[in-house]
Amino acid sequence: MLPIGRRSWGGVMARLDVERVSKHFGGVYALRDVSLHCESGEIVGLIGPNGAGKTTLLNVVSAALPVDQGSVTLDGKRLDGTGPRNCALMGIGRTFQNIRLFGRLTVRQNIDVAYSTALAHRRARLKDTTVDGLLEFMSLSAAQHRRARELPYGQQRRLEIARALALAPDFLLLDEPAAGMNEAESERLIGSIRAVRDRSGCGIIVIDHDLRFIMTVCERIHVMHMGELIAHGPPEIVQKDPRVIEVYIGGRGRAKDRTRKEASNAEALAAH
Amino acid sequence: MTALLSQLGLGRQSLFGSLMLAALVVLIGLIVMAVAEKAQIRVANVFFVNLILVFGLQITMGNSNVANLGHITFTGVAAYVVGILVLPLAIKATGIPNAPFGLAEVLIHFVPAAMIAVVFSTALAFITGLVLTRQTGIAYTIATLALLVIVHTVLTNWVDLTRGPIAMYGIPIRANTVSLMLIAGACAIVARLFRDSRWGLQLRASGEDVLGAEASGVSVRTLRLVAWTLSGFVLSIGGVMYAYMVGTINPKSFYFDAVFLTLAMLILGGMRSVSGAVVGAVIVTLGTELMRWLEGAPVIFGGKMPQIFGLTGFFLGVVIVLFMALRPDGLVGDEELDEMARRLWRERRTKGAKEQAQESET
Repeated sequence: MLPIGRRSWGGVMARLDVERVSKHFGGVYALRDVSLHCESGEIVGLIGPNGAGKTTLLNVVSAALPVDQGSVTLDGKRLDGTGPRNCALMGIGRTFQNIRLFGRLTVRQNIDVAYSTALAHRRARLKDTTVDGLLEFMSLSAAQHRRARELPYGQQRRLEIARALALAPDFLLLDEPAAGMNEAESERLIGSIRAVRDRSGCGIIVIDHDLRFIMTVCERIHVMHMGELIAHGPPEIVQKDPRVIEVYIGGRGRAKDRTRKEASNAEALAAH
Repeated sequence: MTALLSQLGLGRQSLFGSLMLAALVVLIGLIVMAVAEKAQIRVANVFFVNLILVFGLQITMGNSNVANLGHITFTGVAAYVVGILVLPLAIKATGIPNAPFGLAEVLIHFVPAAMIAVVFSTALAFITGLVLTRQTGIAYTIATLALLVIVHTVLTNWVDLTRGPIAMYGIPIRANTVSLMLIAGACAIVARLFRDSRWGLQLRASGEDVLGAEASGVSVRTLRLVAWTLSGFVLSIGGVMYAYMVGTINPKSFYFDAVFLTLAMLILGGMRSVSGAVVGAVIVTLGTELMRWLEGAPVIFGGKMPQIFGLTGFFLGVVIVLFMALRPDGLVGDEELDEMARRLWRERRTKGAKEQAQESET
């Protein structure tokens, strides 16, 4: 048992609301009027082709980027514009698409960094959570004295999740956690993500462009395209949505231009 | 005591490691005192002052991983403050008779004078830090350099207070090898405990990845300010000890030569560890002494060497360039010596256990 988050300290459900957020870079809209909601215990997927605005949305939710319009709130408290540090201490843990670990520090120290900030600002929520517990939970105990940059890719991804969990977050944002993983590793990751939710009661938002992965791990999916949400709902409904099929199969040019991942996405859709 | 330490994120390893480091510094002093002649004692005294300055530099640069070229500012300010406070009145009457704030009439015992100097200079570090730590990356480095130039200009041109470019002489000599080595040892403990504390760890994390650290709840700016101020504190102590050791100070002592000497020491040893600071200071001191000997046209194997001026400066430049290019982590690297020993021991033990397991299988 890994006691992290609200459930362990007896808190009520948390609620993350993204309300009509727009964000543009120069003249290009990265996000246009996007709304999204997530509650404790939910696993929400965010999917879309490259450049759809998924990572921008994550950066906005974790206050790494300011919004142009709209708001992001956690239980009614404004998150946008507070900066990534305050956002982390208010209850948002996140990972990055291009892993951002502390390479020269050991695995244990990587977790210690986040754990020590949480200890200073969110002590009550950590309760019986320990660094050892987190290491064991993410199967990193044996590697705890190795430097983060020496770890194989899959372990680095898991370490980033462990570090985010050390904040005792209410919501966990995962940016392409399965990128670069082989089948077995990503199977295992799905298990870990579910276990995080079950044990901590965190709400989890997962980004990926691999449909198969997202459909397996999430209960609810939002589909993004060109900065807009074009569909949302449970996986089995979303995958039948004609606009989603158009984005993923049609309208993306000739078949030979598609990447392998896009081909596999199309295949996944066709299978149903 | 242990509760306090764990509150700071410090374990027994850090305590043991810092004491070992201090013991090493004191041991160097004891060896020098046992074997050295008078001229060499002077070299050793300069070495201990430089060591204090390198510890000070390591606290900011080593932990936050951003280059700092202005650290000697606080050494200079502290040296001048202490100099002005303890200078005998007779010397003041001829040297700085028109000193402002009635300082020409002031004479203080050397211990409270040292304290006042350190507090003043550390406060200056805190105030400048409030502005400086708003900058990041290259802007920060250039701002530290600007600070050095500003303070140097003030020291050179405020003639009534500092005698300007002319040396301020006659400061009573109060430091000897024993006091220098003990204070250097204490500064080693300060630097090591800060590095290993949770603030030091968080700051080192920000040196690896700023956004990753912020997303882990680290307040990068505050920690940089804390490190900058603590560094200013140690560098001020170095300035006071310098003034009490040589008795004569001038603005040039606290300018680029001192900046690059201490920078070369830290880079050569490895800026991420306090052990690296010690190793670098020892090697660069030995190297510059060798160069100084060569500069003086010595007779080697019966042949008289030509006189080469500026060899020491050349040597420091070469050290910085070569290490930046070939071994940016320095001789010691990221780990403290005791951490390295512990890791090697652990690896050997697990290897031994594996071999045993294999043997029992066969």
